[in-house]
Amino acid sequence: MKLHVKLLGGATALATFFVPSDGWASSHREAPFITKNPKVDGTDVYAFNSYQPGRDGYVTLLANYIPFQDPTGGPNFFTMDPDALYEIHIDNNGDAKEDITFQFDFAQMLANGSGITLPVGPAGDTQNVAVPYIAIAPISATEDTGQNLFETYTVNVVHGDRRTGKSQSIAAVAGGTTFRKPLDNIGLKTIPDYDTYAAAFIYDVTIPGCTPPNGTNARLFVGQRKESFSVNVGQIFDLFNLQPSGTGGNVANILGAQFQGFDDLVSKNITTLALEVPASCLTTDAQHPTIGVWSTASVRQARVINPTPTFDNPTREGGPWAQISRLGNPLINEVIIGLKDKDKFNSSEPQNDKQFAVYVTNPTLPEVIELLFGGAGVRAPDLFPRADLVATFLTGIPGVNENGATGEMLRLNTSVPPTSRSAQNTLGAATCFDPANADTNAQLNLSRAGCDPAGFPNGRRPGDDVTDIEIRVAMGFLLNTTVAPSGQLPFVDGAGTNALVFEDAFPYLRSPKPGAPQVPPPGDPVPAADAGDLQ
Amino acid sequence: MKTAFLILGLVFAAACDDNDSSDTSGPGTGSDDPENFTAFVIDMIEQHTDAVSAPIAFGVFAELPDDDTNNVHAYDSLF
Repeated sequence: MKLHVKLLGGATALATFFVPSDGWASSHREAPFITKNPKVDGTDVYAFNSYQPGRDGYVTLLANYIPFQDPTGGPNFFTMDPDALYEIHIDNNGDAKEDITFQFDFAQMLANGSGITLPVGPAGDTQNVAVPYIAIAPISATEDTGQNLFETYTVNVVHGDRRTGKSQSIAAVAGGTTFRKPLDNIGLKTIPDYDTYAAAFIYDVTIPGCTPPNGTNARLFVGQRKESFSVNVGQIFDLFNLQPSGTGGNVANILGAQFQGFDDLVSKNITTLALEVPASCLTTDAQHPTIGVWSTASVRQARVINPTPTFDNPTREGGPWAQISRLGNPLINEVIIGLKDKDKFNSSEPQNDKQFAVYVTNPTLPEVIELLFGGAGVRAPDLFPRADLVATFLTGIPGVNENGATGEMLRLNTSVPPTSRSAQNTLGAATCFDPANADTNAQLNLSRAGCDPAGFPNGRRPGDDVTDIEIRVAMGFLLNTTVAPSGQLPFVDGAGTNALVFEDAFPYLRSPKPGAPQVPPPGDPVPAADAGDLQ
Repeated sequence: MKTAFLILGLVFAAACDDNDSSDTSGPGTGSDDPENFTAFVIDMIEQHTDAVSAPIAFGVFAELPDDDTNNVHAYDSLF
């Protein structure tokens, strides 16, 4: 789901929020082909001015991959694809082309080269047999002798074109250019203190060509986290199976409270690539503070399966890199782009986004909502082309995060001061508009009470409720009520979020849910017979 | 290599993209045109993995004949 909010600009205040169209799980399994490649399925991108105390001047970049991770999904859990290339791109000069790219390249290896073995057999005639698990003893930050599988990665920063630009290695301040990724949260018996364990994999790093503020360092982390997106995706894809009124029941009320106790992703995990970089190293200069951010994943164009696979060589992959995942603003591909073009969008670049313009100028999401809730009086905006959505989606908000580029990117004005965690508004910069009326579009008003310009769509923070923002914008929140009669309705999906459910420090997203022990979710108790079996 | 079969999977996604990023100058073009899909794939992996180039356009290989659907040794040279 994506919601773009497009704010309008400065003095003229035309308010155009943009909103992508329908869907909701930011970008989880959003296109047919990517469902065959879950390890490279980018699900969410966050870019915000760091609000951890003491980190002024830094920008945090988070790129999530591998959707719908069930914490119990062993025994192999959710390793990254060692044959793929994961990237975070930055456009800092407004041409919709990457100027800086952070490239993550993963590797995995068995302990001691061939894995942990145990002597099995009668005394005096044992055989050393490889174990089937990725850990056979408790693991901590200082004790990993029982760990059977290791993941490492390198990160390069590329200035210029992602394939032909100047590529240099990011290095740990402590030395070395190879970093370790923690094991996924197998369970409390394997990793008793996951918070402390994972914290040991946060690296202070040096980025070539980048001078950090005095006394500080850029930071890097890659690892499993608790799913950071919230959405009632099941209900939404079930013909928006939301209640149009407060009748309650087992589905959310589309016009009810932001958080109604439902969130289909609440028990899932995700894998996060996190970087915290000085803003001055991402922008060209102080006069051009806005950056465009998007993530991608690419694989080699050819893959031949090894009929006699080994751990190291299950396939032979080669040829040029072929991009098969792309993500900037949340929900764009999921709910805006038509089914026939979703795979094309994933392989595309922002500089070529005009090919998808019709999906923004004539969005289908509002029409779908009217079809489903027209009986309750809901009406889609009647104004085409949707200039409000085009502006937010393709150009940024004048006076806020417009950067001169035409292309779908998450745009962050790095000069907007961060809002502390406790003061953030879940509706982000959408709170900075005076509401529309019959004669006037919503007006940007940065002095409005509660205005939080440091949030989506000016970048995106973990606690921004982008789903609710985007639905409202799609339904015409920024348009006058003559053309958008339902534009001022408080649409929600019922799955709320806020900054307080995330950490106040890098990498902000919380530790993943453990695979065991499992606590049955409320309303879904273990059947009596099964409970007996467990005793 | 065992008697088994070989399965070939080609990642088509990017190659299907019709924007300007696809490369029409890779394997399957020019004087060394591969005669079939197998040769195209082997040439791509052996000769173009480290080269800086965009994905090969789908049209370059979409119609190449696959003469090895029953040849379990077609890709032996890659392993």
